[in-house]
Amino acid sequence: MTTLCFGLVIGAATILADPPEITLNGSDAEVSLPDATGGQSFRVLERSEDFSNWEPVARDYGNGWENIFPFTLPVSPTGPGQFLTDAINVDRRFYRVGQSSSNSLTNEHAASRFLQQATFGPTRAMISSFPGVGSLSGFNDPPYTFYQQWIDAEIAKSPTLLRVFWRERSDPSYVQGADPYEVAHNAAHGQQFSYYVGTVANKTPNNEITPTHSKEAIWHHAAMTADDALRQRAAWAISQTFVVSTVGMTQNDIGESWLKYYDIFLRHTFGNFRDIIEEVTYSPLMGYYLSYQGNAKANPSAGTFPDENYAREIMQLFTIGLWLLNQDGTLALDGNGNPVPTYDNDDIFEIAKIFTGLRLETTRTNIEIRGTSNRIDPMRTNIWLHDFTTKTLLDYDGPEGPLTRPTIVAATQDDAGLRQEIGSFLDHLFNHPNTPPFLARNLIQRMTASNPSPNYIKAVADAFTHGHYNGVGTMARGDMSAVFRAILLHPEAREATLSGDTAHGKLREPLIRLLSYARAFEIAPHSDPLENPYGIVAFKNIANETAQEPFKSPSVFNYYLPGFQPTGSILDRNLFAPEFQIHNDVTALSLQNAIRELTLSGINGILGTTKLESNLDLTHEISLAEDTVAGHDALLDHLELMLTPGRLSATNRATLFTAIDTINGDTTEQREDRVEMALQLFGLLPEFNIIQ
Amino acid sequence: MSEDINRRKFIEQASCAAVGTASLFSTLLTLRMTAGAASGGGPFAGYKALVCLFLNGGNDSYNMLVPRDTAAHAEYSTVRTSLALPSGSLLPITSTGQDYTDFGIHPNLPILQSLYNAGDAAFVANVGTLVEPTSLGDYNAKAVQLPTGLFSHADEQTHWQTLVPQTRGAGPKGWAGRMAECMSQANSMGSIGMNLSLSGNNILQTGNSSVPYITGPNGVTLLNGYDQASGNAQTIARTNAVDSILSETYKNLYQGTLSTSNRASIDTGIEFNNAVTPLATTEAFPSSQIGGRLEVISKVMQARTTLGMDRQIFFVERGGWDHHSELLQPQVDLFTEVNDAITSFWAEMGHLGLQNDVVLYTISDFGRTLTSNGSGSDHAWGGNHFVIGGDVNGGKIYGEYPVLATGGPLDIGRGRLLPTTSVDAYGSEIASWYGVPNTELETVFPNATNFFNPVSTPNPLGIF
Repeated sequence: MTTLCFGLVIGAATILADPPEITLNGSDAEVSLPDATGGQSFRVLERSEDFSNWEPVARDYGNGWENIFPFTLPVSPTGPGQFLTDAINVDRRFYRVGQSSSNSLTNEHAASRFLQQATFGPTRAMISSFPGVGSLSGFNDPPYTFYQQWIDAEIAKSPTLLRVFWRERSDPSYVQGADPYEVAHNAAHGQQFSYYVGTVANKTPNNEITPTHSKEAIWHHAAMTADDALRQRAAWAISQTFVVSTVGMTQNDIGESWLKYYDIFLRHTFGNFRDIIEEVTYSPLMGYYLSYQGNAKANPSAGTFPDENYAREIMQLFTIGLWLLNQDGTLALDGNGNPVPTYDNDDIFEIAKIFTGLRLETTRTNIEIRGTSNRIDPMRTNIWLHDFTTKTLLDYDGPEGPLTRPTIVAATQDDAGLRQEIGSFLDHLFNHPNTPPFLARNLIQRMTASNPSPNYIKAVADAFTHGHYNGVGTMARGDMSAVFRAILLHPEAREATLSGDTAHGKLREPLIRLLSYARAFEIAPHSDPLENPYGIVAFKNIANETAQEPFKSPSVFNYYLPGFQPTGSILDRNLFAPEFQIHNDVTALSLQNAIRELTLSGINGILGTTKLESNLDLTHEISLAEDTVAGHDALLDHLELMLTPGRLSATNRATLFTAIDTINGDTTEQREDRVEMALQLFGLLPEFNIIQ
Repeated sequence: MSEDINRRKFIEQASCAAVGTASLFSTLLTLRMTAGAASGGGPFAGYKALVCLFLNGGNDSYNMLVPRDTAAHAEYSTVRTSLALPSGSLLPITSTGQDYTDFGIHPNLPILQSLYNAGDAAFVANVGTLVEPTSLGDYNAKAVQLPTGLFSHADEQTHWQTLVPQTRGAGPKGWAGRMAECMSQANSMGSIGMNLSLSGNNILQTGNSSVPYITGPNGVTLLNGYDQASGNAQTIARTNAVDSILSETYKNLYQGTLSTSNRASIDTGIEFNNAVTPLATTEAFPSSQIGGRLEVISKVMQARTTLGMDRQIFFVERGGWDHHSELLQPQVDLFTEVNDAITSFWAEMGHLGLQNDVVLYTISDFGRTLTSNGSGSDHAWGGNHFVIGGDVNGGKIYGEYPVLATGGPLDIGRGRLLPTTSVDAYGSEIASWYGVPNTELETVFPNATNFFNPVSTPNPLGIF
């Protein structure tokens, strides 16, 4: 087979004049990558076999050339004279380098863009008070000092804990317990939420927020109003790895149980991953959801075996995933080029034995109990149900082959021995080399990018492994603050030149798109207690509008899979877009209708409720929307800042201008009409729905 | 008519064999045009519809179809311990072609018993995802290629839908999507695609160049405030702006995907709404998840002429079948929902005169372990399924109903049964009835030739 490799010059303005040079080296082509030229530009190396379909295989957005998914061809280290190595396995191949320049963002746009990644959405106050936003230079330059300052301040804020919020506003008899988060009722708030005692649901007089709905109402209130915005957003991302759901569960109306579980992620957002998997494992809610509370060792005479549910999912979904990974998230391959499973079903059978002998704690007072089941406290042990035989753990010494596998066995066949076994296995997963890149990819996908490059994944995985990012962190493996710093401060999240990369960014979660409207336009509870007796901003049963609702994932696999590929150009490039799994003919439009309804008539309008009224405060927008060219521009400038910072195309801006310009007159009502028209149309803009 | 020209052009490009070139078809509106340009008649006369009922979570189907034969039921009771259903509680049926004749159906599925006895329903035993025929020895020695990620929900659900289980993920696309692309001459007057989902996006109906239209059980979703025929100046301005935004070209992949899909959702919703929303069913349907969805499907079938459809595939998903810790009562509840919904649906098909033109069949992640976790069961492999339709050679269990015991010839451990019928054989029966030409079955079921010759034997089990 004769292979011809060509470097190309193409007439198009975006194609570099100098073709890349090709050197044949054995069965590989080495493609020279032009050195950096400085300035804000994005460059991409593409290859083709037919001169018409071009595949991006490497890129440079100002930090040197790097490889990208899905091909991940080797690129020599950053510096002058970089080259890409491509195995020659086709008759001929062409290469070309394209370049696109990008406009630099204003500080305000850059801050808003960052807040779209790091929170449930920017507010005017968050943008104007962002560190350094008024500085004349250096705002967007590495190492992104001002963003670091913002993150530092967020981490220092005291967490808004949902269980605390609920306890202060439910059973008046609650007192402070030994657990610091088991706070006392706060008489100043009265009883806002229902609570169970025995079989009685003590409902509030205003039963719009029923026992079933208190947890989601409180979640929404915190998402829209809590001061610790980064923590709330990051905890939501973590919670989508450790899914529990009311779907398919009973006793969904014990609010304290669900809120205590969710608080694991709010308390350890910037703590250590090891603590998260410890608390999740002993959580009675997870014990029920993945059916290992009460799980018993095999009973040969009865013909029963341990339940395998938790053994499987803690590995597949919570820590290591199905396939052995390199630290940059690419698949580790065996000698035949095949991916290597992290475990097989024999391992599951073995590990299921570890998760035997956990059961509910005994009942007590001062917590919400329905009937007698204690679904609040961590599970206790029952050593008679536990399998104390020796268990063989996973081999993770790499694809090269089986080394001696570690085993665990309890030193003593008692409570301590059982806990020691579980602890050893959690350590085993915590220290598994797959855990950092597996978690890194999932959390990056939740926050900033659907298709993070191998370099980005590795930076976040390294932050997990070494406990710091750019020297900041606890230096302990599993430091989540380092993980989130890496996710938000990596150049791949920060560099605006990446807007030239057609694969950069992600579809925002539909729920977050709705919440971001509420936040940007200062939603507040109606002041009349007849309209909103709770004084909180709450959604309930919002899944019809958003296809997504806290505590209501359809299964342990979350609302979408990390590997979802919508048909069309994303699939053609073998890339991923998880959130498109819940974007369809129904949800695409129902979300837009909800945004319209929120704009026009508030939360009661969306939900058809009578006692949850909260409305956007559009005073500022209406003040801008005067019936002049300058007024239209002021309104559009402001909405671009809040919703599409630095992304709004000139054409779409002109379209919006034309639309609001059809409403003539300068009465308050006409100004309101212009604002509402603009807000509805912004919701439909691809530049709003996608963050880059 | 530019739309017709586009469709014709699309069809010329999208022959079944050429479905690999998805990049040619970049707009979802085009992707829906799996309908043919050839007008009238063609090879697909009359109306036929498939309804896929996906039991998400892994139905414990050895409690759906159970031996009543005395010795076999004793064996079943031994292995299932507390999960076993008493023989006397089962709804009796008989079948030829198995080791024994007496079987029973779960007590809460009486509609299946009556359809089975009327010859309008059949079971298929121990079906599962396979790459090639696999014996217990093959499995233990890893002598054959096995599905990736066996026993995992996400992987096995994907495999049931792609039927390329040697490949991870949804990349190979779904077999109903491929069927639509192989039958592009159907629905020549159609304005929506062949595939319609009542349960959101799914792999089954997603082809290389086609996607399903999605609608919900609560009716069609339209974009409020969008009306090209409005007399209101603001509505016109808003509508024009929406059209303008969605007609832009977006270089960013996610922006472009969003924009084209939103355009299609708005347009198809309007068309669908006009045809379906005014209709009512004769039969009352239960307001359950499955009942509500089968009701909508019945209305769409009623509107088939307006919509210009002569072949349709519907997808209904019902979750809740992952019964690790508690099997018996939850399955009673779910089977009752299935039973009541199908009862109304079948009666409605009678009113519409479509009982011979409809096939309803089940898919599920996997069967479950015969042995117990105490009061539930775990992920396994082969399981039982049912097929309903007037054309079904009913009253029979197809495939090989297995020995229900640990240590049996198919047990790979704690009562996980190696499948003896591939999903390819099951699917080929259905696809062939639906009208996929024998010569195209291998395109729809790429592994089929590992199990049977689809050209000479498109119905390897004999269900149709």
